[in-house]
Amino acid sequence: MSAVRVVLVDDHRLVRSGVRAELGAEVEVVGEAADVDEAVRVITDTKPDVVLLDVHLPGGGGGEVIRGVHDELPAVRFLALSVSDAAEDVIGVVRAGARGYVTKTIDGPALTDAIVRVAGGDAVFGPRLAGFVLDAFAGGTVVEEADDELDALTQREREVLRLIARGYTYREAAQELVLSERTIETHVSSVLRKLQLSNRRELAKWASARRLV
Amino acid sequence: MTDGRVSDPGPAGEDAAGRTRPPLVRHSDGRLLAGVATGIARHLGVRVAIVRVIFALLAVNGIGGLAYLAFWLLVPEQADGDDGLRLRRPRDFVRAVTRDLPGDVPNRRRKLLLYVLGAVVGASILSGIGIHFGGSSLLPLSVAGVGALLIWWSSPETQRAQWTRDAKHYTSKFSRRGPLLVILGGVGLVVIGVASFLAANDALKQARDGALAIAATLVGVLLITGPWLFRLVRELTAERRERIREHERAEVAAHVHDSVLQTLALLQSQAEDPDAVRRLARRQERELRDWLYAAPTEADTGATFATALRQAAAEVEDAHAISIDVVVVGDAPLDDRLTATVAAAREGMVNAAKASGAPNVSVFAEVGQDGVDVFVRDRGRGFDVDSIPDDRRGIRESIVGRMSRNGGSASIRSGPTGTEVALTVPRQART
Repeated sequence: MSAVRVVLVDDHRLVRSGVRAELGAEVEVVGEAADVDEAVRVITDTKPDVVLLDVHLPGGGGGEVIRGVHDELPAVRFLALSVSDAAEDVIGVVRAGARGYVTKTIDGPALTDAIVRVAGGDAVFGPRLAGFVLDAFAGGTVVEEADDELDALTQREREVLRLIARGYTYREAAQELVLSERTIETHVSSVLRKLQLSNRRELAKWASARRLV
Repeated sequence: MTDGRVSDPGPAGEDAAGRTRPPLVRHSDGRLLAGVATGIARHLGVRVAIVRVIFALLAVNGIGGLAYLAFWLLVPEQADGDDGLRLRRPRDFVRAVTRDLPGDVPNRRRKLLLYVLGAVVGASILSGIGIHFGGSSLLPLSVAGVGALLIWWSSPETQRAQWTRDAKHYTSKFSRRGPLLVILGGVGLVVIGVASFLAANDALKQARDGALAIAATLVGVLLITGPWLFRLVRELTAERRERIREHERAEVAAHVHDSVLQTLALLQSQAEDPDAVRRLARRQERELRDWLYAAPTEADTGATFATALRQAAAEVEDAHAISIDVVVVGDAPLDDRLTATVAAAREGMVNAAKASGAPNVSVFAEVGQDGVDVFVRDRGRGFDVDSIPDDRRGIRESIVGRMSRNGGSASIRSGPTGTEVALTVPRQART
């Protein structure tokens, strides 16, 4: 498999060079950008597999970059990278179309793994994002009771998210639940879809606080 | 409104499009009489013929002539213009009209005659359809128009630029052409409409002059003060926003000084002690995060399970130079059981910090309707749970014993991939 082509978008040069240094050989950095306009330009020029996207960016934030290129290049996938703990930031950028969210404290191998995962079409949930999602979908455990299938998590999805929130990797979660890793990935992707499409009030509230509906 | 307050991004004297407006001076080249019309046209950036027609038409009721004379006297000549024109005695005026001037346009007299004839014919036509230029109907308007022109001319450049921008803002929805044309056109339509209506109703003849004067005055007042009022409101809003921003900035500055700068100073003084540096940095990061992202409800309701758990994690971090990530879903007010659960979780974190050798610990807590679950997990070297020596009271007593005394339970799993302490306790029935 050839290296995953990645564009780094962050307004801090130090962060970009730090991330670049940490990434493994499976990943090739083909471009960097420091603000929304530059990011849209670089992504359009280089057509990378994955964009590593800072949530806070001059010129409108990470969500703006996703909206700027998504129509033209739907194949480009986004992984949000942030120091922010604010739920509305994280949920906002995921709802704009990011396939996952990791914090900047993530170590190199884990980040490389996350990028490869996103490039393969999977969703990447860290403990914090899993916690936010559990919070947002709290209540309504039984899916049959919900009006809309998108507004509730299944029991299995909830179990998977709990394990991720506890700090388990996908592989460890698979062992714990006696499932295949592939099944875990399917569950997480399904949660991502609900997160992006659900109109649940908490999600809408978080998103609208950042005008990222 | 003082000139210094005008929020003009460009240098003074430029209009909204960035063009430099030439100063209002009388131009000797291209003039027919004294260069007033040429000067005004160049200054406003409109065709000179338009200005001349207006002057000629207004001259029919006398205002145009007076205005022309006023400008002639008040507006300075272009510095390098000729000095052959003086208006001191009546015969100078006659000479000015008839004399050939240096730098004259060709056929100057014929053009002059054309404008005069045009004005007479135009006025006749207009009076034929009921608009009497010589009458009192358009007199107030003429006075107002000339007055506006004089105000315009005597205002400083920055004020003019502001007016132009205001007018453009006003009219941009309707036209991309010069805003002046739109305003003049609008006023003209209103006036003609009112005039023809009044002319068609002789019964209203008495009310006509008064009504027209009031209408003209209202329109004039609106035109002159409208943009200014609009801008005043906008500036007040901007000022209030600026004040709020200033207040927030001061608050941030105070906080940064009290915490971040102090920590940075400490970091520099303890640079040779990596443990201390890590601890300080981590603590500062935590405090900053709390300040930036903490949900207001946590601060308001005081002691809750989530805040207590985060507090416990913070203390363990400080004491053992380790990084603890806490994720809490849901929250509840602290009661005896939850306090005990937090204490047990804290013991689990201390144990992980001391024994595992892992650099960080994950804590996940979920407050459900029926119970509370807490997981403390590290990826360090595990231990054999069954062979915990009796003297290690920490795990036996502080975790397992404490949980069972409070109606909950604790389980510990440990292996080569790390250790996880799982605590669960049912919620206390609310009284």
